[in-house]
Amino acid sequence: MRNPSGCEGWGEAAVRTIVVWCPDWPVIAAEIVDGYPAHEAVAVMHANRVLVASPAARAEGVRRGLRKREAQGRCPHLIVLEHDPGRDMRAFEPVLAAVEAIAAGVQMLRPGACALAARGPARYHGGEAAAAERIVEQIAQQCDVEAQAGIAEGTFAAGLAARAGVIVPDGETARFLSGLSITALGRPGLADLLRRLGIHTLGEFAALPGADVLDRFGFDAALAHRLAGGRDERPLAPRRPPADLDVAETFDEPVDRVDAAAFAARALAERLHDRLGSHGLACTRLAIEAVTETGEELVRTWRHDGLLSVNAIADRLRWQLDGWLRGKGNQATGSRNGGIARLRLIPEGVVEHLGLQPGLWGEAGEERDRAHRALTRVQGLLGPDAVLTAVLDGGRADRSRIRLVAWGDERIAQGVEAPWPGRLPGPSPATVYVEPIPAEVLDADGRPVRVGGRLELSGVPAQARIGAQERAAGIVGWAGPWPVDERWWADGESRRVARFQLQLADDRAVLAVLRGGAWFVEALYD
Amino acid sequence: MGFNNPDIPWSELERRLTGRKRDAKSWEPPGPGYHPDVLCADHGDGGDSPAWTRKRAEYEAPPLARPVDPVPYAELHCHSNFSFLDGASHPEELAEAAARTGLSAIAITDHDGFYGVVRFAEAARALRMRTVFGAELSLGLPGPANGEPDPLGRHLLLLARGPEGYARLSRTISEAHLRGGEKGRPVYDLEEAAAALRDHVMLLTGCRKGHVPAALLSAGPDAARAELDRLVALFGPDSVAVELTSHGDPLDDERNDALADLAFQNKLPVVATNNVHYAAPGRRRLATALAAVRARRSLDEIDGWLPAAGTAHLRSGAEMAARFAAFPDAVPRAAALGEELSFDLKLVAPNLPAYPVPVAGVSEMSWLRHLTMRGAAERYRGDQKAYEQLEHELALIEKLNFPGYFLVVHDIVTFCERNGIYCQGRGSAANSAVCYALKITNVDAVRWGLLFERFLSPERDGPPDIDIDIESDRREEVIQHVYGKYGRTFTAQVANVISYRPKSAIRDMAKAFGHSPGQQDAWSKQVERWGPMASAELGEIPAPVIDFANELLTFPRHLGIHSGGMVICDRPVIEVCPVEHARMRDRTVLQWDKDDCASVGLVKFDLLGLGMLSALRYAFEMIDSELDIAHMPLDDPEVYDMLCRADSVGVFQVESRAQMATLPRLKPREFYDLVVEVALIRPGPIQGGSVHPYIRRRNGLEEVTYPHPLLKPSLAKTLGVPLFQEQLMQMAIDVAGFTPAESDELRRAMGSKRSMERMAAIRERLFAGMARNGITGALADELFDKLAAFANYGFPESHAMSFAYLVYASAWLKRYHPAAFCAALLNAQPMGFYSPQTLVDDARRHGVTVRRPDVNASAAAAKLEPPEDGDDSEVSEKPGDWGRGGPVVRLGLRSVRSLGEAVAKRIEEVRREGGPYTSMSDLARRAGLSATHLEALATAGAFACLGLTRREALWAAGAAAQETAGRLPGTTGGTRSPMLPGMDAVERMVADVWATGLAPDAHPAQFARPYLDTIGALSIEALHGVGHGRRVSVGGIVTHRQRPATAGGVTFINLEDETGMLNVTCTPGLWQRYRRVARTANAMIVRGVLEKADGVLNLRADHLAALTLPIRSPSRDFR
Repeated sequence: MRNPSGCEGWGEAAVRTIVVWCPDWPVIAAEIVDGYPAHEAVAVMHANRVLVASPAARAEGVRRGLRKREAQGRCPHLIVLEHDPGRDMRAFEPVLAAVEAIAAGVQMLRPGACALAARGPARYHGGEAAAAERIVEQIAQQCDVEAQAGIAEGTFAAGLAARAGVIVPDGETARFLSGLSITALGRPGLADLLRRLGIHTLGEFAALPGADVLDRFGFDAALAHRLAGGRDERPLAPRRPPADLDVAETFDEPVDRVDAAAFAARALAERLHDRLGSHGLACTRLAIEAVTETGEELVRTWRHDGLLSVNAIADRLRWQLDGWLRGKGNQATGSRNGGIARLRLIPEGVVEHLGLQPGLWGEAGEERDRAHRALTRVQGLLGPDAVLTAVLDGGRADRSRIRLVAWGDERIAQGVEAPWPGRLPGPSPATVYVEPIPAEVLDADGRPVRVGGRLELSGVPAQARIGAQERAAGIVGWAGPWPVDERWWADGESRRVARFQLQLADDRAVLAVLRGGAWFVEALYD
Repeated sequence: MGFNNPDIPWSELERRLTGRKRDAKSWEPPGPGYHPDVLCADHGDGGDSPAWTRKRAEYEAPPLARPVDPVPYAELHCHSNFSFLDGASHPEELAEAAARTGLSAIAITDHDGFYGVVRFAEAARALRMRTVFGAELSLGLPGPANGEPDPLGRHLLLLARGPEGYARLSRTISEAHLRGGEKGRPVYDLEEAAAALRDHVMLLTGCRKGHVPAALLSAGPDAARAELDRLVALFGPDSVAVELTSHGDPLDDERNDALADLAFQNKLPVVATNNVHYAAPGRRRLATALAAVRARRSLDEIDGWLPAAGTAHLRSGAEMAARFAAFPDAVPRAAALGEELSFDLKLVAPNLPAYPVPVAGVSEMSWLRHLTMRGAAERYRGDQKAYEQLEHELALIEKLNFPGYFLVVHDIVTFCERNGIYCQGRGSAANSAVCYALKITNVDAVRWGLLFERFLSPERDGPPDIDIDIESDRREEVIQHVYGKYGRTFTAQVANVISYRPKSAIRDMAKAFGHSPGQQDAWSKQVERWGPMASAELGEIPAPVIDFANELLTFPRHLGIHSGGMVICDRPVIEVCPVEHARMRDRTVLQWDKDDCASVGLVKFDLLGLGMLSALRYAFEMIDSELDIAHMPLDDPEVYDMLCRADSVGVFQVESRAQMATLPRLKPREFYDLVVEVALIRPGPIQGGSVHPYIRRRNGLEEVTYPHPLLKPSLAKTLGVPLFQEQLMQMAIDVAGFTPAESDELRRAMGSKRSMERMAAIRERLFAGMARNGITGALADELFDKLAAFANYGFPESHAMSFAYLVYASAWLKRYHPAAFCAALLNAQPMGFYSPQTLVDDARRHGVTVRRPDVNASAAAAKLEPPEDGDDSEVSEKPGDWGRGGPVVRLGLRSVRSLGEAVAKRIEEVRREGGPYTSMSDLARRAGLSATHLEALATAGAFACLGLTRREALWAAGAAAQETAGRLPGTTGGTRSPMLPGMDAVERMVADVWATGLAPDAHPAQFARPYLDTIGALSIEALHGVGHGRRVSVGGIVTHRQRPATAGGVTFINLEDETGMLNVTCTPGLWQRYRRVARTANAMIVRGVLEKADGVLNLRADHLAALTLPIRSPSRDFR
């Protein structure tokens, strides 16, 4: 092994850095946030490739970089999740908070990893090892998350030290790095080329003259070359706000009551609305970020299918703060971390303002706006689930086509692009029973009417008795049988019925179905 | 040719062949000690034998109960499963269901084609069912219909009026397919089609996508009337009927009322149909799953497009009459139309075109006679017996009127000869002296006493079957010659109907049930080829997927091109069978497979690609010689010595694992032994350690006996064990006084799916003949039993003989020109049983030096270089020395990763024109290479000629690639590398394998040797010194995994290390226990019991463990 200390410029020693690294973070985050079992075979995908696999998935041969298809080919019971950096971040907030609780100057590297200068904690806890141990312990206790800490000169080396779970002694960083595989650079193309050149470790790479590396492989490789030599120039920068469309408000007096939060929310919502408006944009997805007195950060994303009006923004903000301040159990921020010190609204999804007309009442203009405002106000008072609208999905049975969604949520009907052969044509029945009414349909001799597998009738429907009715009503007209045999592939969802329209002597017209040998009335025409 | 597995177990066949009495045990299932004899096992389902083609069994009508006095009705709108991924019943099933329900006729109306008509017609003929032929045309398709939930466009249902209507419809469909320019997208012009078809077709208004119903649905009765008027104007008032369909949809009645009104107003008839998509309601679920596959969606996603219920099945006249009570004309009208339109497909039978005889006024027969005699003068030179045979054959050819067929084949062979393309007729054609004289085959049928009637006999329908093997790299030239000579219009390639097999069925059903692509992959991989579909191994696959996959098996999925089948026709072939685009560019293909073509009478010529013929030509070119199969000496003892040692990697036909296990037992010493060897390895692991009776007798373990002295002449050459179909025929001639023609009839009657009547008649004749020779009673029964057992299972001797010549030629090359043999095999890839790495390893073990590619020395392909200087050491006759002192193999540039054929050729050509490359940048500039190319070449060591190590070159590649044609030479920096580490042997091998896929001078296993030594694992070579029955461990790479259908679940693993190859057998239990390793390990350590017999080694594994090697080499599994 070559001695990297012979490299030029070595000595402008990078600062001793602790990196805290939580293995398989996107998998762990999915468990924390969405409850996916991290101990089972889970893979988080990005752009159709495996980003991270759980240990159980790795045991089945699922590796980073595999295509989704190959991964599932190796492990058919793999739980596959899309990568959601927001989720990773949300789950990581408590970890950051836990670290921040015992050390200052914590900086995000990416969800699952953060860095901090080692000097302070080391001095406070009586040595680097003790400090690292304390941080890992703190994360385990506070968040029930497994973390590893590593210490070395510079973030790059400390990151690798964290993966190895070691504390690299002062001045040993270059030696530590030199034995590591060239793949640690995280540049697969370069690593492949270097390996073919016989360069397998960071040390061997670092030993190449820097000018030659720049010449042959270009700027990025030259940067990697410096890192491989232990010369880390990444400044420990503070976290930056992600976009410039966001608006933020810092409260002199932390907000810890819901009514106060609502007031603050209103003002912030107006600012965001103005800001978007001045860019000709509308917001479809809104992230709400709050910082508590103790520095804990909270994030939640809300979706909406139309333009978010000032009221809508304010309402959502209020509901969110309500949840945070008065949530249940250990999610209750207010009691633990104090009030909210800072609020920020980040429009994550924006669209051009023009053309976004959610024809809610089917017409635009003032009336629509008035109706819209009224409903929004009611919802504002009673909560999001108190105002529902109906969506007509596709399907064959009227009963299963109606779906209720909260006002303001996306109202996208499902399955409406399909023709649904066999669906009853209009006019639709006015009354659709939530629970079909048991019935009897009999032929002229009083025998129940049956339908065979080839659609032949056992007799002509002549009378029908519906529900608890005493006397059967005569049938004056009928149509059918119209068979439906659908969703036979889905357990518990299959439906095999023969439908009839019956015109009864008492002037009622009903939709009757024969299902598993029993008759039911599903709907009433009137 | 049909070489099918017998329906009976091998043990039973063997019992019958050897004439032993049945012992009860042979019927029992294999017990725990069961172990198939690897020495005789081979793939029962094809594998490396190009002779393995299947022929569809003739349809035999099952006994059916038919209704008495049914209500007359004909189903005129009926899709079979040749409406790919739409219909859900085989054409045969529909014909049967039609017969069972008492229909008076049934139509087949698949989408845009006549794909299923032949099978349909065959079945219907056997069932005495009238047939109507039609098609549903897809008009206005914006693109191929697959992948759409509901393809756009209109449907037009047309039924042919007689053969003329059939021909016109076929032409119309063909032209639409050709115009569409891509597979699955016919483009019709309604007016044009109507002009061509008017008065020759009957039009039904069709389903909801027909013009009239669609207009009715979307725009009302007036629009529908306008559409109907247009159709009537186009096709004529007597040729349009309004179609009424009742599927139990709420809209049916309203629509039928409106349509019937329209018909009444327009004075058109109404016709009831059921728009059938399957024979019985039970197939409905499969039909919906198929719809999902077609739309490339899951059932959940396609739900909204699926028919509501399973009502599109065949209905009886009575059922239809009940459903159409409101339209009393509709059902009788359908019955009448069915009668009017039905005809037998036999009426379209075409012929071969007249052959263009080059001399005016000379008949085809005279010309054939002339050519035959001209060839005979060269090949038979006054052999009286041969001339008698030629006369006999020519007389029969004349009688059967097949001279044109022979002239066509002769022309193809002559074309090949003129253009230096190696070719050879295979199969039963080698029984013919005429074929030998015409140089179609190279087997002297007279000298070998082959039975001509196996090839051609008066009782057979249709022309003989001459398949020609053509070197695979130049087959395309021959195909183009045939197109050119007979015209594209009259010539077409035969389709290969791709049917569902277990793997594809599992995959598609998993997709339909909404499982992810990865799960589809995993599950379909779990179904090892042709394996049974219900075993415990499939535990992970959901039951519905398995159930529906089983139901789907053998369904046609799409069309492929048959490898080499061409038909030539006396009329435009598109009037016989529609032609469509194949996936391959500029290829068109018939909608029928070879069996369909034969059934209708289209004459087919098989031009098959054979990699070995390419390899032979390459090799003979390298040694500056020419292969003359007919005259090569066949008696070199060294060649036979080599084969006896199973030293046969790369040798045609006898290189496979199973053949290698047989060679040392068969101990071939003369040419005929090779003929036997080729024929011997047919299906069959044998129970209880028994071996093929021929081998037993050959090794003196069993007495050579004959069931009857009269059989001695026919069976003597195979030691009393019948091996060849010709022997079966000869036996009948000898014991029962059959004529050769009768004996062929016997063979076919026994071999085909036993037609009871034919069989009974010929059995009677056989027994009568035997009785005349005094063979009666038990002996007669036994002989009949033997013949029947063997009928369709034996190999044609003529075919074995044609192949045996190639065995000898390739073995001779391997023995005397190992370097040329190796280079030629590499250049003919892909072919054969082994990977290039194994071929190179084998060459190295025979003393051949293989050099890496080199930018100044290599051609695009592998080639020979002069012997190495200074190697004057004594060269012995030991196999390891055969190649020493001889030429050296130089690998080709095209083997280098990322280069490909075109770039490799460019490098070669630019160098030939402008001299050797002087530097990397010189190469980059002149040949226009990218950094990736240069880096790959550098890694392969191809710059050694410039004095650059691989790593120096790899470093310099970055800069050199900058030196494009537009730059001044020497203006880029970075060409000189810093100090880079040297490479050790492992790194060199890794680089070689990375860059070219093979290591020319090392074997991966040798780097694991120290480790293998420490754990006490032996090398494969060392096993020869270990006794039978000892327990040993061996480590090596896995080159093959095979599970022959006939081996009772046993898997064979081929293990290779730097010293040789070893066969490993794994029982199902062991496989299950070490499943992960067994399935996936590229290299493994196998512990097991060594079995030795006649110098053949086998390891019966009892433990498997993965072995880590520096590189991973892919194995060839379950092919």
